[in-house]
Amino acid sequence: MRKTEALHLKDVSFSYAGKKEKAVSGTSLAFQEGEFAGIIGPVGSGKSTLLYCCNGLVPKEIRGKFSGSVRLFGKDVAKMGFPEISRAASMVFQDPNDQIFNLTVEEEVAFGLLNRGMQREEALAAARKAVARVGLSGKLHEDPSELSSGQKQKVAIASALAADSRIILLDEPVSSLDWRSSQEVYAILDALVREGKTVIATEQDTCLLSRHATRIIVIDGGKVVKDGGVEVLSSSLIEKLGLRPPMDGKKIRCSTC
Amino acid sequence: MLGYVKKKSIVHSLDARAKLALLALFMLAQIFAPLSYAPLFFAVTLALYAFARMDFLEVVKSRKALLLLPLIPSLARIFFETGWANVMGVAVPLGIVNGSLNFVFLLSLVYTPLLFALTTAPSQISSALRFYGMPKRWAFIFSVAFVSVAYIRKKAERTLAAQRARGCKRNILALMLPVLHSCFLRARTMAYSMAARGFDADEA
Repeated sequence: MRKTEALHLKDVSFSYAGKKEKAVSGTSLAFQEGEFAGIIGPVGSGKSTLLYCCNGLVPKEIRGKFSGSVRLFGKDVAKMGFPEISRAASMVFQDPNDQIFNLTVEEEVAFGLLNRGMQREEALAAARKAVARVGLSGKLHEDPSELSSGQKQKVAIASALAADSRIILLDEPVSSLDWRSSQEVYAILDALVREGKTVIATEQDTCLLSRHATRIIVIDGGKVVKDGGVEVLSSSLIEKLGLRPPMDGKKIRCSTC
Repeated sequence: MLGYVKKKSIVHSLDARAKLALLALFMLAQIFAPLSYAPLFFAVTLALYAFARMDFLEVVKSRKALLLLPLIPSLARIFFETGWANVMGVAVPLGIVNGSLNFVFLLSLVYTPLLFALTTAPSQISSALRFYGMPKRWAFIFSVAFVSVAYIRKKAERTLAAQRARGCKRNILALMLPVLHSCFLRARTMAYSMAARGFDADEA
């Protein structure tokens, strides 16, 4: 069965305002529905900026020199408003502290739904479901700013789940989480992919990506240097870029891998 | 300074909307009542603190900066008001009488709303404000401001610790600039997050 093209970036380039060097340079990528793509690269390689290009934050919110086109399910992102974009694509940022600004976990998770004009009771019910899915039902009425980093990140992920968007963009979603919580999050992402959603995650943990992603995109200096299956993670390119290859039996035995 | 203190008390369990309405009425009554009624209102404030199981003196000690609000205008009255008052047959300088009453009046005016903030969760305050017709945008600004206060406090503590670890003496300016800088950076990323979740500032 032919899958729908969920996201298409064509010749996308971007440099931040006041900077000459391009954060993203001539990138063309296409993502299908139901795909789990991992984007890896050294620090400062443009992974996060590429993600911001996917949901219109670049150039609508983040100023700079942008060229190329981004299409979400065939629609040009440049012609869409954020309420419409958020229906198609949700984003989880790297630092959960930067995306928490409501007074309870329930309201935080329901925020995006309320912006769409959903009735309050319906939005809160959807929020409760999403919070239960990340295992934080007991924290529903707590102040999210008082939670641990890992719990805050789960709240951010719950917000993306509640939005029920067809594409989930995640910027290093498990950087604040312990190993068990990371596996729980990736299990949720696996379930979303089985439901037909597209998951695109930037990641430093190649171990997790090797177990869950079906496609690996390697970025360096704002350019895509490799785009292939999980076998990319075992190539010499990974170590050359200063990234850690996934642990295997030849080196340290990782009992949970 | 305004942090909600979770406790089990009569005042904590009251509905936020009722508390807000009663607070508004209490403050209006204080403002329009003659100054001589100030000790009565202050007695009510102390009683409310007792019902909330909060030690008034501890609250005052932990928020010493707030004392300046009643203190400065009262001292001004003590030193600059002229005349004499008859207090139970004794002539007392009017400045001392009015200054003292003013101090008690302002203590009550400052610490009763503080009690409201201490005994009401921020989310309930926001709901109560919306209930009374505060526009969605302003209620949202309130909740973001409240969350940001906690962030700024933590950031200031961490910045101070980092500076002390590198031998820097306590210096407000040296603390303010990095904290302000991180606040602006945070505001920027918060704006991205809000936009990514469909928040349309113009609609709000």
